[in-house]
Amino acid sequence: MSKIEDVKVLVETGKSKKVAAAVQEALDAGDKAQDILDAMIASMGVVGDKFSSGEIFVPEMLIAAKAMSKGVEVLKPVMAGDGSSSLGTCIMGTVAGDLHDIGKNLVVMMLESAGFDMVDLGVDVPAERFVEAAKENNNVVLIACSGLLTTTMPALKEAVQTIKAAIPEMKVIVGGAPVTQEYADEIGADGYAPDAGSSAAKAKEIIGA
Amino acid sequence: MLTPKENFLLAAVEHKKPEWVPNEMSDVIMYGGAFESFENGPAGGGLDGFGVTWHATESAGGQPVPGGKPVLDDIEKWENIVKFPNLDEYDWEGSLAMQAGIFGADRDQRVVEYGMWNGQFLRLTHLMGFENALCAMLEEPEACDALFAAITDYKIKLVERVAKHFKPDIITSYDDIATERGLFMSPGTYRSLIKPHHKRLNDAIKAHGIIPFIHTCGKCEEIIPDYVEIGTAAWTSAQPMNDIEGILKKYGSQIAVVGGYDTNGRPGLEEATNEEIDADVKRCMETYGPYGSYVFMGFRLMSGAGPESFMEGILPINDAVEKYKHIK
Ligand code: B12
Repeated sequence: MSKIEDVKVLVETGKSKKVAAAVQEALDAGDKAQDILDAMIASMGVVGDKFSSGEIFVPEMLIAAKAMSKGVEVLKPVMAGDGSSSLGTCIMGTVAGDLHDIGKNLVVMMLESAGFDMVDLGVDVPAERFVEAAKENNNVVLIACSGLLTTTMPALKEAVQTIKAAIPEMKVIVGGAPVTQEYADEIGADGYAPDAGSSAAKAKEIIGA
Repeated sequence: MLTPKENFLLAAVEHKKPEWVPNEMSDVIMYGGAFESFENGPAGGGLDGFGVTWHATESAGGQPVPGGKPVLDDIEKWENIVKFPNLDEYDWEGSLAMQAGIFGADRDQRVVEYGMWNGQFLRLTHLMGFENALCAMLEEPEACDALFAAITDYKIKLVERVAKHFKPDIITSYDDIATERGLFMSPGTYRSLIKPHHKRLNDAIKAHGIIPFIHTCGKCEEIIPDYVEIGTAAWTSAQPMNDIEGILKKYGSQIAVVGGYDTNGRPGLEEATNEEIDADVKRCMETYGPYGSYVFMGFRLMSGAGPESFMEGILPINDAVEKYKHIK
């Protein structure tokens, strides 16, 4: 098996203690950093699909993402300054009044592994904070808002509307357990995805990548 | 005519068809839960008996939620780090008197249910943070198992105190192991790592002559047969993303379902209209009522803190229950 295949298997099975060494071995064997990264991105795609289809669960997905980030740590110094693979910056947060972040964190991981530079604002994020963050950071192409409570769905709406009023061309994606495609349409979001596995494809589609 | 208590027990414990559909929100004296300061921190927020910090938030209807820096980072070090509440420091009789003053004590009319919050899985997440806890279950299963066993030992001591002072008919263990779309962990992980501890706790509750219920929100239909197997009399807070009707058909003679109302859908919204509320209560009564072994339960999440706003959310639901509970 090639070294890159080893890395893929280790990411998919979430072996975070072993990935760094395997990535280093692949580099030593002459594999290009970009190819190793692409392989890991593909692995996270597989993991995301398995999660969407209910084949694996949150813990499996978390350890896979953890493994990938260990691998990326090894690649970072090698790839420094080579911003070629970035899809742009995405700002993400859970809306005001809402403290749920497990789903948001999974989406952050999936978007990151798909090639977005993620800025995570955390939980209980007021609508204006999304706008400020979009202005403070470079090359922001997407804002992602998460809401898990029926009582914070209005906060999701407020976030989308505040962002659109301040930066009309900004793309916004929303999600969270009580959110539906209809609700996303109703509040004027550009997109919605039901789970982390499908969030990366949707995010890319929205920004036209 | 049966008392509400007899009627409730007929459905929830004997798994038979009651005279009318019982209502969890009116036929039960509900003790425990948030009042256990050693489990959820003092009112208004603070440290619980495990050293976990709790905050009261308005969006949580004033309910405390765990936060702050996790007590435990590395599960393998739990024995040196995790401390358990000292249950002898708690004023059991004072707490009983206070709660009886608030919720009543008409034990001949209504069943007494004691809510034991923060089940084994939830306690692990409170100690470690959700994500670390979920990873630990896959990465360090043996250490998790040992910690779950220690939490269960502590819970069994808690059951002893509750049995002695509160003398409930039912103890409900709250362990939210599911999300909107399925279990947090694979059914295999549940079965190997959590279920044995759920069973030991159920057995301890039964040893005191008390009936064990388990509360699990979210989509957990896959493990209902497991709940049956470990001797759970009722599964509470059943939400309709589960095939409740299918469960009643298949397992209704072995386990009761408490729930039904679409708390996460339109009828669960703060701005739900009385028509929407009415229609969902009617749906529950007509679809689930005929199977027996069913207790209605429904509430709405309100944004204001405190019991008044909670009651405000429930009143129209209870009114509708009165209207439809005799549908057979
Ligand atoms: C874990 C949990 C908590 C934890 C949160 C820990 C944390 N760090 O996040 C704690 C204990 C703190 C908590 C607190 C509360 N919770 Co809570 N909680 C849950 C629970 C059990 C699981 C949520 C979860 O993590 N799911 C797993 C993740 C992976 O799924 P997800 O969040 O849906 O995310 C996925 C998708 O939705 C999507 N997604 C999410 N965001 C986004 C964003 C974008 C842009 C995209 C594209 C996709 C996307 O991708 C994710 C991955 O696939 C749910 C139960 C349930 N049925 O959902 C209740 C639940 C959400 N909570 C509820 C309640 C009521 C509360 C509290 C008010 C009361 C309480 N004390 O429990 C407080 C509120 C605190 C607050 N102000 O926010 C209710 C909400 C009911 C309602 N009507 O809205 C639920 C539904 C439980 C229930 N049935 O009653 N909770």
